Amino acid sequence: MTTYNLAVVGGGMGGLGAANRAAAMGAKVALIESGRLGGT
Amino acid sequence: MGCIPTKTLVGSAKAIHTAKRGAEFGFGVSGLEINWPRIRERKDKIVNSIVSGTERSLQRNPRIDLIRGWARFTGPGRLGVGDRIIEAERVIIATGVAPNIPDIPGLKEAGFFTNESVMDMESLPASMVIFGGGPEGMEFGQIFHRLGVQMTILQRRDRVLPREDEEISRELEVILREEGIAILTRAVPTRVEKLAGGRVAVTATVAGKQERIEADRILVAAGRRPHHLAELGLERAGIEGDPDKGIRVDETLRTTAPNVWAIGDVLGRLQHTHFAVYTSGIAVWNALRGEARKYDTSRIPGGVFTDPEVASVGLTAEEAQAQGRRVKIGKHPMRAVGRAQAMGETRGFTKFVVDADTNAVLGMHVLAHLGADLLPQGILMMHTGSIDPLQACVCIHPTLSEGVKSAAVNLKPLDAVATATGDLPDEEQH
Repeated sequence: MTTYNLAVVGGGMGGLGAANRAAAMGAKVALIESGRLGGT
Repeated sequence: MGCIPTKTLVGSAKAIHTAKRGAEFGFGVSGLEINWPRIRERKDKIVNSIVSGTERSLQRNPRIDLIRGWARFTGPGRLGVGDRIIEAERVIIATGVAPNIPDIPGLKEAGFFTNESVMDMESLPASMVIFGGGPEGMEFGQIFHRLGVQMTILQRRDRVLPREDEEISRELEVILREEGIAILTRAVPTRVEKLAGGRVAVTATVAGKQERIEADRILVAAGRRPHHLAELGLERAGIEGDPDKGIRVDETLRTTAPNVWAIGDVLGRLQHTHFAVYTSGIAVWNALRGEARKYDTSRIPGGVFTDPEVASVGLTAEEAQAQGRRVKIGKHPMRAVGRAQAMGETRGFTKFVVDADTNAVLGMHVLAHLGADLLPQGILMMHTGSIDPLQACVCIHPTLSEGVKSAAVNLKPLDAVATATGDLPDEEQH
């Protein structure tokens, strides 16, 4: 099982921002979202 | 996605409104038809294009695994999503907010829209009552009014947009009322009844008196609160927080669990997309690089996309004085700005709140066409530490920004400021 460097709970605008920035800094990221990306 | 859907509706509503102002601009329109399905299609097309672009870019990123489902903490650093266990060295919680539904007898039975469902309704109702006179209520009130729906806004507090500069609240309320939107303040809905034909009757106490308002539909715009926190199982990871106040963090966005940070709306502080994005950057630096960067809410701006727009950052004059500061105000009405007259967009004003001793910009408050785009000049000055650069710069003529500069160069001690109805000396027109 992968141990991620970072798990981001929620794929709204904040979560997306966190996931993308973390990945750009070299992290392996799990982004968890149940609905549409980007929030409402 | 990040408020884009409502802004597409604002665009459609503005275009329709301008078409109806033909006489001012020298044209006539007959047979103006509003096509709600087409307005929805335009919104969907724009939103889908942004969302699918985001999805594609995530799929192409080998470092990000997108996991679909609802997460819950199963222990410190461990999350469950369905049957799957996710282990992570660090976690950032960004679960956001959802519409707050007030506990009003009959409301659930009668049915209501929220900001999420109202934009996808099948057809426009003849009339709608909005519970809430904050940013969402005001935006939707004007949008749907412009699309031909008879709108009533019920606002609990004594003014709409209670967090904004008071002059802005008062002036915008007048503008929207004059446009034909009914706005009732100190209005608290107490009961909802379903009527025949799917209509509803709202009983409300309005400034102490009981009123009854009938309409086709209700839109609940009574704020948004952190959601999904109960299901998230915060206590299993030692994270303090609750559904009312959000997740507790220190000034570096760290929660009470050492490897967990929280960002954005779920903090229960500011609800703006740009705040969520801003805090995401800080949290990632702190989480991945072990830094202790602090987040700062004092220069986070906010906007309301009515027409004219409201945009503000920092302190109001009253708040600055309450802090014991000597304050100067610079205020300039848009009707004195040549470009605003040429555009036919003369409502509102720009206002600076400046520290009289240091010339530091403490706050900027705008009610104007494209107000949200005029505000960054004030935000920048808050970062430079002084209004002096703005006073020194040369603006293109004719622009709305000249109005901003005029407000910046005409600073007066607080008690000497002209009111919105005061006359300006001729030399201040341009």
